[in-house]
Amino acid sequence: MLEALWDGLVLVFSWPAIGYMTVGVFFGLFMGFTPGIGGPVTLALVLPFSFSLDEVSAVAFLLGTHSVVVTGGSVSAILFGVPGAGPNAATIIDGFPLAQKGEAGRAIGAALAASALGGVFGTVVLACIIPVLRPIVLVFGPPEFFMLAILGVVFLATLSGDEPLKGVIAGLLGLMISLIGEELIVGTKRYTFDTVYLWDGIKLVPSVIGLFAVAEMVDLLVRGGSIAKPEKKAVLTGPWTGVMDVFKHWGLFVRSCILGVIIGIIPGLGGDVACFLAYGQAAQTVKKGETEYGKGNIGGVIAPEAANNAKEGGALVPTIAFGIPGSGSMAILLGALLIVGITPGAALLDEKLDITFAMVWTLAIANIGGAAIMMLLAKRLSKITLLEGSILAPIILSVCFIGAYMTTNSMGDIIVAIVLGVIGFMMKRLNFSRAALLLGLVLGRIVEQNLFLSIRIFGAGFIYRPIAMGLVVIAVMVIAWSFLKPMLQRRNEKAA
Amino acid sequence: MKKAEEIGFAAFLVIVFALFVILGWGYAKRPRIVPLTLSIPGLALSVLNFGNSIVKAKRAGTDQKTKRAETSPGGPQAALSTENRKILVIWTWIIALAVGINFLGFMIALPIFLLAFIKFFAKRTWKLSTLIAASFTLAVYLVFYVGLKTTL
Repeated sequence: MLEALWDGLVLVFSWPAIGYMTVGVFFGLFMGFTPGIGGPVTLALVLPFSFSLDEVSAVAFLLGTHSVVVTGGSVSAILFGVPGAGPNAATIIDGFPLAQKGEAGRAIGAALAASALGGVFGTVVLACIIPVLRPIVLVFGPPEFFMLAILGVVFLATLSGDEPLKGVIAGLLGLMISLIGEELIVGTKRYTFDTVYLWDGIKLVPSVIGLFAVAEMVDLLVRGGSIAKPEKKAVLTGPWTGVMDVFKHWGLFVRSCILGVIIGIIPGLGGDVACFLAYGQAAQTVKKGETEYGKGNIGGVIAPEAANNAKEGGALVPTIAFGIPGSGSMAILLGALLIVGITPGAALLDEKLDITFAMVWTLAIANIGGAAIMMLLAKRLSKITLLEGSILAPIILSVCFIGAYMTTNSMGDIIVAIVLGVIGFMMKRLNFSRAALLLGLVLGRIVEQNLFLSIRIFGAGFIYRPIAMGLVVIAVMVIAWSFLKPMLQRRNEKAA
Repeated sequence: MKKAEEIGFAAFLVIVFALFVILGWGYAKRPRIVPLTLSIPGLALSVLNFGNSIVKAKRAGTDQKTKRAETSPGGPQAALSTENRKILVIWTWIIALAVGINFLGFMIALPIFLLAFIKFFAKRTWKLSTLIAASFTLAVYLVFYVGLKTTL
């Protein structure tokens, strides 16, 4: 165990892995800082570049990029009130008022320190869980994986605000899109319309680029203007005061981290949920004489940022142990791991344990490095968000098409990016969950494969295995609650 | 107009799921199990969603009728139609880029797209448009052709 831990550290610091991680950290910070792009899009953009790398370099590059996106996003959230990535939205509530009060430096310092330390916290938890994971993984067979995949889609689909029906439809649409192509057992070509490109199914990279990046850029062009407009000149002073604030609020920090890790482990919940729940629990604990939450309380910056980065360690648990991604970004990362030859499951917790620990180290080092770099660069980078959208968007769209095309060097990839771009744009406008569609797309094949294996091994009664049955009960309860909750809320509002 | 969009997209979803069901029915027994298990509930839910969006639109229509007398005629409607025109124009640019890549390749299509988009859509000077298009194309060339030794 300790040997694997050490081997993992050596692997991360070996050349060229450390170089790729550094490049990834810089790129991740830049993309995180640029509002509207976010984690899944950033990973989708760097994904094609990882295909030709060796296992360790690819892991260092992808995880290095991914783990710091939200760290970069916290700076634009505080300075301009525009979240760099979705999970940074909760940071705005108190971060932007702090910037308006001339305490942007303090807020940025607190956000970056909470992000870095939260990331390390999540990583330590992940490292501690790994030895316990092996026996748990062996208990999980095809029926449990099938139900876990279903549960992941259900979780994500039902967390679509007050319109769970739209979330479930989006999840089902993603699952159906994943079934396009050659069927795995018999080889029947489904929904391919005799198009050779579709025989291999819809690829993940162009899909993500279309759903998120293309849709966001079109939305930016429609809205017009620049991405961010600072309402008041932010003062970048006092970041060290913010760093010290994290230590002063250590109780809040630890609680938020624990919440983040737990939410990360549950497949499909994602960063946004972690941040808002952490913010919610922080707001419950406001003391007498303290600034109110929502009006510039530093705790409102520490809680979501800590939970957000701690969540990444937790999200890696189901991804590497079960092959079930904990979030949209993890879904892309899972695809990347498979492409470079790393198969999640028992192997990663046994003979490839050093690779797993290399992931753990990458997360920790990238988080600390990313926060340090951001402290130095925040002021200069802030000018990018003032670039006119009509100039930034065509450049990003060009990068999108290059990224999509590089998947298989086929025009089909660009067409997929455009078609899913249109669907993603409409989904964004009409409040459908794009993350649910993406998770359905990633998990569709897992669902089908494990369903067939379950029926073949255990017969139709596979669902009655204890863990599978437990997961069925949780899924039913989640669906029922998601439909009941808005009804109860409406009734309470009427009564009030 | 947003309601029309909502009804349109809901109808699109019904058609897509209906297609999935109809085509799925034609496959052999084993390959059709999962598609039908997922697409039939998908079709049912998307029909429900379609119904919901029509009901919402009717309610909104009734509200609008009552408010119409108070608001200035054509104001928000005109803004929405301008927005829709803008959306169509943006998608036309994107499709034009894809067509350009198909027929001319990345290294020719990208600079033309960037130059034309920044000049005519963003309404910037020729100098700035040329500078951005040339710099980006050079960066792409250096990263992909020189750095990664790949061809686009």
